Amino acid sequence: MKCESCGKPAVVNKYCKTCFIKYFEKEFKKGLGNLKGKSLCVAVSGGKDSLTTLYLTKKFYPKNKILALLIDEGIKGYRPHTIKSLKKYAKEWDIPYKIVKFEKPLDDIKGSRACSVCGVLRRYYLNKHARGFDVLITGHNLDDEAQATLMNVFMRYASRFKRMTMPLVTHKLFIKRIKPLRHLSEREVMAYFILKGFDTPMDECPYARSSFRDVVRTALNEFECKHPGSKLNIIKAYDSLNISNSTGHLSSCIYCNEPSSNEVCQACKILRN
Amino acid sequence: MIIKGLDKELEFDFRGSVLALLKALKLNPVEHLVIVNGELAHESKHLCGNEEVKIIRVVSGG
Repeated sequence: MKCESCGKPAVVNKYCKTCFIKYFEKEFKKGLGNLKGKSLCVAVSGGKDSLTTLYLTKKFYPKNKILALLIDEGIKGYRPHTIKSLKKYAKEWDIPYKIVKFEKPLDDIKGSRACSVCGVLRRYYLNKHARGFDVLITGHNLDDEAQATLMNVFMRYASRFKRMTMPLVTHKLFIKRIKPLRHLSEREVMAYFILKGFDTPMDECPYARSSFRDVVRTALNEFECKHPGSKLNIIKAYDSLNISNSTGHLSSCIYCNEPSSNEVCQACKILRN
Repeated sequence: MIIKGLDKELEFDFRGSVLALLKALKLNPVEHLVIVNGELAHESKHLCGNEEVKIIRVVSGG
């Protein structure tokens, strides 16, 4: 197959290496928006998605203040590998980084809902430690977003569904979030990562295979194989709903003072249990 | 051909496209990329059977 843009042999989708990289970076830049003069905190795990996000954020905004923020959940034999990658690339790209560890390692507190617990705590720590920056940029890709949309529908999580792209209630302690990979698939991110010659351990979280997300991921990928474009259509359908946030009241957690809709926030419920 | 990158190294007698290889191995092309002789290969690329092939699962992380 020939590249649709230049006629050279295609390597990914309908593009050759050069044209794919151009397409990918153009889509990323569109997702990033105009961040001139803003301070940028990039959430990183050391995996392909977040390293790509960090690299391109620096590429497009080299003069902005940028911090790479890694939340270490304390998963033995998994996270230490990608921390090495973050350190290597942060040095190479001249970006300062900060590593925040879970107060209690996930291995010790997970119970039977490792992914839910991890998700609540990661969002909590990211929001808390990104404070002071104008924007928090995350490496969620199209697959992550399409999966989350379906999971929230299947589980009838109405409020989570509504706040997928922004908090339901605005609050001065909520950092604005941007997901520049939201319209790029996991396969495209991996292809870009390989074509740029980057390298990082491609391990899967040991808890991932037992999660509901894994069930949805497998089903959605089978569907995407038979009906290409389905993931993008899920995201576009969600966006067309035009869900808006409000300026309603949000109280603070009695233990940590972080914004919470209840007396005790979800993170403190987990950490104090 | 020797196929690397899966849980185990596999010796497989195959000629055809990259897409056909993935299907023959019962792997979803949405979840995998294929490196042929060190270069990322398009699904339509024809394999003669003597290439060095590495299959990469694109799903990683949590």
